[in-house]
Amino acid sequence: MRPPLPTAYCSPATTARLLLAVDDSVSPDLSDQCGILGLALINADRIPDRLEVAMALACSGQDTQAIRRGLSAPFTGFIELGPEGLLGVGMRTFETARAGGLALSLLTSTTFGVSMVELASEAITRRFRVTSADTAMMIEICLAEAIGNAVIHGNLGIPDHLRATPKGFEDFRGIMRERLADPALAGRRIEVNVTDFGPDHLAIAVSDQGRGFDLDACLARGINTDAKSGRGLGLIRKACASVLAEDGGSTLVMTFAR
Amino acid sequence: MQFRVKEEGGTVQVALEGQLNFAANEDFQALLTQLGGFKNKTVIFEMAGLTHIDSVGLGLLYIAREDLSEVGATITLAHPRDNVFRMLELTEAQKTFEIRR
Repeated sequence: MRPPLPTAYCSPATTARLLLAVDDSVSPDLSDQCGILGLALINADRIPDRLEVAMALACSGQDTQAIRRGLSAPFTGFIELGPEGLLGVGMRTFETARAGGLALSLLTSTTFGVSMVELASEAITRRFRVTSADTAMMIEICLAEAIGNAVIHGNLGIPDHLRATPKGFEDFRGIMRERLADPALAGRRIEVNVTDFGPDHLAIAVSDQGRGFDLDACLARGINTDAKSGRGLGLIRKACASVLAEDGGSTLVMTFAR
Repeated sequence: MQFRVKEEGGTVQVALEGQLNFAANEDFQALLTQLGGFKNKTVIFEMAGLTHIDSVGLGLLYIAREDLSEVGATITLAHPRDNVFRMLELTEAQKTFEIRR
């Protein structure tokens, strides 16, 4: 039996400190941003053996190895530094990393070059001790749908119906190329934040920086078996324990029994 | 996503590798262009090398099916990994495609 639908995402406590480990030399802007956000900077090559506080790894570029490192202990997350450092990183990401959950923040352009889904689902399975192969599969399926929706409809603002015909598919690809070439849209963030959700569940929040959407209205729409688009949310509802939207529909929170 | 196309008699084998997802549109269009020349064939999408599929990727397979049916060709999906098969199962893709395990 499915657990009751949560009515609110349990944001982790925000009182603890967070260290931000960086590989590169620190720019004055990044240093200022960290000061404002209450983050302490540390050199990623000189991590002490014993740490009393949570620590996220931050670096720029499409570096799969660095992302994997940030999603593994002792780190509690990976934050991609954009052209303007930490600008645009959601508070949920800092809160999750600070509370010892698992946080991942990448630029939209980067999600086309690295496998955000595989990196996140591997890390979640390991960090949150997901022992059921079926649950691990469901997490990967839901993450893929949520991230795909966040990129296409959220950050790039491309409507779904375009993929219904071959001509529409051509238009869809054209619009995608055009919007990915726009630094403002390509620089929007996709964020995955994972925390425990009660003793037996975990909550995975996928956020974008688009206009948001009406989850209930989307779920209420039916879908033909052979439709070429529009399956994502229905699939998520089937595959996870519960799903809800937050932040005006720009964050999707999915829960899973461990 | 990467692909390799090989024709053997009345069958066309398409070996897919990597991820068939929202980032695969351009590669998939290149595949569709290549497949457009095969009339009245059985096209087998060999999926053993596919690590992952999402519903956008599945939508691409439906577009391929429609495109190929216009030239009299049919599609079979073969040997998906467990996670890919689970996704096909959850979306009832077996109602539209022949799926060989």
